[in-house]
Amino acid sequence: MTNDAEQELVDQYRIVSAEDAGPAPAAVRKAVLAEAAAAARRRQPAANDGKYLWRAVASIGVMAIALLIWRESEPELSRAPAGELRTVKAARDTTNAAPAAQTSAPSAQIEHRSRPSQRQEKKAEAMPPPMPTSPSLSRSVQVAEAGAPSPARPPQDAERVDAVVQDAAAGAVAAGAAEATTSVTAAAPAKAAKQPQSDVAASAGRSTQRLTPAQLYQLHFPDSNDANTETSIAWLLMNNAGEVLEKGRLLPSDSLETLRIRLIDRHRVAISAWQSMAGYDQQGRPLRIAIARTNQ
Amino acid sequence: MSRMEASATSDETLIKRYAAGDVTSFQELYDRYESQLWKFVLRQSGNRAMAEELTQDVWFTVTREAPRFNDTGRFGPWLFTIARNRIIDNFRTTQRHENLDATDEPAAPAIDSPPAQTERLQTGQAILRALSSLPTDQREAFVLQADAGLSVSEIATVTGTNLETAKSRLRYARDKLRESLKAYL
Repeated sequence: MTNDAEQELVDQYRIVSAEDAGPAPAAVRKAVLAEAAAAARRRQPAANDGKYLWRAVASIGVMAIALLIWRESEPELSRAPAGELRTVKAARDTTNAAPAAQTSAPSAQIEHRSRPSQRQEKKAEAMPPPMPTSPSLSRSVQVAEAGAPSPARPPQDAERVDAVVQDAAAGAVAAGAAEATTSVTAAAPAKAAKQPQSDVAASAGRSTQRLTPAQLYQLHFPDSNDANTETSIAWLLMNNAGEVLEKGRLLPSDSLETLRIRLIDRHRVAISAWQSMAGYDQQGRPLRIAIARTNQ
Repeated sequence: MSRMEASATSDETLIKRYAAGDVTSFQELYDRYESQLWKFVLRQSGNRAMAEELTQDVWFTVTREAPRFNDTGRFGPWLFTIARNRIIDNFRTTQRHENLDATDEPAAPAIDSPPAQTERLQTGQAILRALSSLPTDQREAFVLQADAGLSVSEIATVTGTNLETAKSRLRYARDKLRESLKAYL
């Protein structure tokens, strides 16, 4: 058989085969095309599916709204800078002017949360004061030990917490006074340990050195027998030499911070944040004294 | 992609597009190979119902395996390789596989005398009968060339043999068909 004959055989076969086989069944075609579409859909990433895309967009929107609501409802205090926060807290604590024993617990919790060095302070309090590692630490330790010698004295925690509030003085405004405090406590730590006095008093100058809050109160507010020591705070404004520039009483409705701003306006000098101390007067009544210093 | 664009596109591009999610490309491919694959499967299975099932399975396999289509290969041989493997699996399962891989050439049965109908019909039936009497591998090679339009090298690829084996199978198949159809051609 020649090539032509072979080709004729193949051609004839093709005609016969096509007639015999006919087209592929329509059912097969339908099933195959449906499966092809389904397989393609299965391979599509979910991100390309409009349904999932809208879900993702909606989820992000909900999260954004929740975030906004959360930020709006966040307490004002938590948005303030750290230094300012402490000052505001100190002002609030003192402004409330509740008895030290009653207000100490909440303020202790606040301070505990906001101060990472609290554990170090507790450790320092548990043992005789060794070499102070920081001005704030030494101050806290000393002030905690400078409680009034009243027999009816409430637990020491109250004083310690109030003393810790003094760290509000860490602001830049108080640079001069803080340095003075540091030099006193760092230069003679052993002495500070043996003579537990208010470092506030020590740093405030000769006139207030080694005075307890009660003695300070008695010294500067001798006519205060009738004053309500439970609801008002006595305050002192001292210069760098320890002289009292101004003093007075803060009403519960007033704020120490507002007072400080007023004093700055009046004296035209930088004034440190308030250092608050608590103790008991000779009648055993709780008292609170807040001291601020100028940098001159 | 429009149908007109698809018609000018190679099979390989279409299968890649389908793998990327373009169902239209698959439809174009299906249209191109529907008839060829159907005839190949029908001739190899010898049973229309079985051929329908196998054809559907083959196309399903294509839809599944499309993302793994080899970039360097050609779609036609790939499709018929899938079909051939599926047919072999089916025959093995149903115990109807007869000497698919044998290379010995069994003697072709003689064609009966032509029936007393039209010449064309007689010739057509004679051709199909002659084809069905061929050994499986020879019939396979012949159908892949005549129905699927594959080249000899592509037939070798699909059947997993070398070029010379594919050529000899084709030659044997034609010789036997010619011998069987002497009375008609």
